[in-house]
Amino acid sequence: MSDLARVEDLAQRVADGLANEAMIAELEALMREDESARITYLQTLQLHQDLERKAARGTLSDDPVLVELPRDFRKSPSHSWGPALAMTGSLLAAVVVWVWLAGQGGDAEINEPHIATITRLDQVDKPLAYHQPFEPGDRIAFNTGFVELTYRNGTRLVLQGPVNYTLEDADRGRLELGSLAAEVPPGASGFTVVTPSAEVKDIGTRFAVVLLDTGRTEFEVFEGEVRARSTAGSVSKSFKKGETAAVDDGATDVQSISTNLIRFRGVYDALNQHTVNAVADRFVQGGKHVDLVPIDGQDVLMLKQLGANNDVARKVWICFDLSEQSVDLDRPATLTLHTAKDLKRESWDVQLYGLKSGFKPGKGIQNIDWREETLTWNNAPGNDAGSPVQMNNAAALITSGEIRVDPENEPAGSFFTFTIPSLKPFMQEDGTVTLMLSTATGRHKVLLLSAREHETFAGPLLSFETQKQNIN
Amino acid sequence: MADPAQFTSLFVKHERQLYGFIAAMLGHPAEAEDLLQETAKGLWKKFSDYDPSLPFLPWAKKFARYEVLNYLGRQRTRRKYFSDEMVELLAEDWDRVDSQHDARILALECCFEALPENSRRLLNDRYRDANSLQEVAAQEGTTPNALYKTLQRVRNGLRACINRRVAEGAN
Repeated sequence: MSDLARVEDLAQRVADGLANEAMIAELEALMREDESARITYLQTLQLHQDLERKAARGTLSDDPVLVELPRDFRKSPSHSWGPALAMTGSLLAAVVVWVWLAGQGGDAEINEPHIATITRLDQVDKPLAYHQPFEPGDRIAFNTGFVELTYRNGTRLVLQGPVNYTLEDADRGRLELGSLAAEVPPGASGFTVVTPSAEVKDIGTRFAVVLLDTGRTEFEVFEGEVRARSTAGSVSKSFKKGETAAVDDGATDVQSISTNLIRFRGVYDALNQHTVNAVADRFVQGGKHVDLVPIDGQDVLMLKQLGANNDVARKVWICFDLSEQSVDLDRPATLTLHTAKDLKRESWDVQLYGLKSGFKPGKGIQNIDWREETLTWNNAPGNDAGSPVQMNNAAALITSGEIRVDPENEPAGSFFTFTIPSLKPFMQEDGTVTLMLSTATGRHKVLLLSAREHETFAGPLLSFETQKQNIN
Repeated sequence: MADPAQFTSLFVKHERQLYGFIAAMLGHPAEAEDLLQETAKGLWKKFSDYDPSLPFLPWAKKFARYEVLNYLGRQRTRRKYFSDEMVELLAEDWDRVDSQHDARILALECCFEALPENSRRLLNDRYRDANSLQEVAAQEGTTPNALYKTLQRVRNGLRACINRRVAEGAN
């Protein structure tokens, strides 16, 4: 099959929703240097959409086809819908009505999904969970530690306890206590933090805000620019990178102040921490299953060993893709794992290994480019197939630690962390890091951890620091 | 103040193109509808920045491209999607493909009518009401794989016919 024919085949699978990761990777490889391949791909998808349109409307014409709107949307006092609208489905009808009613001052809105989720937890004293969603009006409050929220528009907010913060809507939040730092990407500028004394609006930047006990608001701009005003005044002022300012409670003016290096250090450092999900994770089983991909649910990772042989041993492989991150390889990183099931009071001594950088597959079948669909005990990179616990010398032991579970104190979804002193020894050329787990504790019960596919609990997470910029 | 009537008129006029643009960048058309909705909301919020003397679609595509890259950046399974570099390449090539779309639509109408009746019925069954391959295969009394091969042949033939007609028209 020629390359273009293969592109067309793969493009049709994309259009039919049948393309898996390997096909997407193959398609990208075929299109990367070949413009005609990309044109073929785009034309194939375009044909697919035209055929859908023709089947739905009976024509490919752009002339409007008026459709009765769902009753629920008719909340405007006027029953005139303005311009004639070509409606091609309830989605478009919903968008159009939302826009029309917003312009009319109507209060009917499409129900918005959550606007932000928790993407990192660091020694927080409240029972918050990774990926916990927040809707407009939700409040988050805790006394110690750091929480990172990521908004749907890409804005990252780091809150430092003690803190009380309300997510008013997708681009506005209210700080009633404590401090936060924000990183606002291009396209989401305009994100605003409000305190009782001040309003700080981002113009495309990183900044931090603290509300002191006296009611005074202080803020510093790390990158870009903000516009700020007192809630008691109306004039807003612009502040740029390196500038610090304050608004006293009841004051009408925003005043520049000298920078306090300590004031924002905590949230600034926390903002430099990033967390990524695993891109692949799988467990493998020894004994008679050494050449088989386990058929148990993909949403869990099993750890077990019992006895000196590997008949029932299970080890875990986890891959993180850091190729698009500016990782500070000299700083520690943290691996976070969640239990997937309530367990009896048990403990496991878990060994964490890393596949050494520069790994080259040997004559055997161990391959760095491992995939969840094909990983087995025998082909897992770095695995010592003769040991229920250890890896071979392509891997290095990073640390070991106890995972102790007790359904009363650590119910399913509890998380445990392992510190990796540096990611440098484990960074592969393609920007991936592969970590492995085994257990040195023999138990009849298997330790179940949540995989990235788990619907309820977060899968393995890797937190690391990015390369620092000077705070001032 | 931005005029919602003007916005809806412009958006509706270019909705098909924006959806196609997003679906192609994502490589997963089923996820394009949600992103199209997010794009629409973003466009409406920034509509006061839009210069009506300039074409709407290039301005809207910038937002759509941002939404796609932003969405991809948040995905847990990043390998399931194209890289950011590929998204940018496809975004650049998309204009060229879209510029030929009118001619290709005309050609499709002719090529479609020239198909055998069975093939036309198969395409209508597959695409009407977003029927899945599995559902249509069940109706046809065949397997999804076999049906997929048949659809592939029909669509390949259609595309070849369209390419021929467009080339003839250009000459």
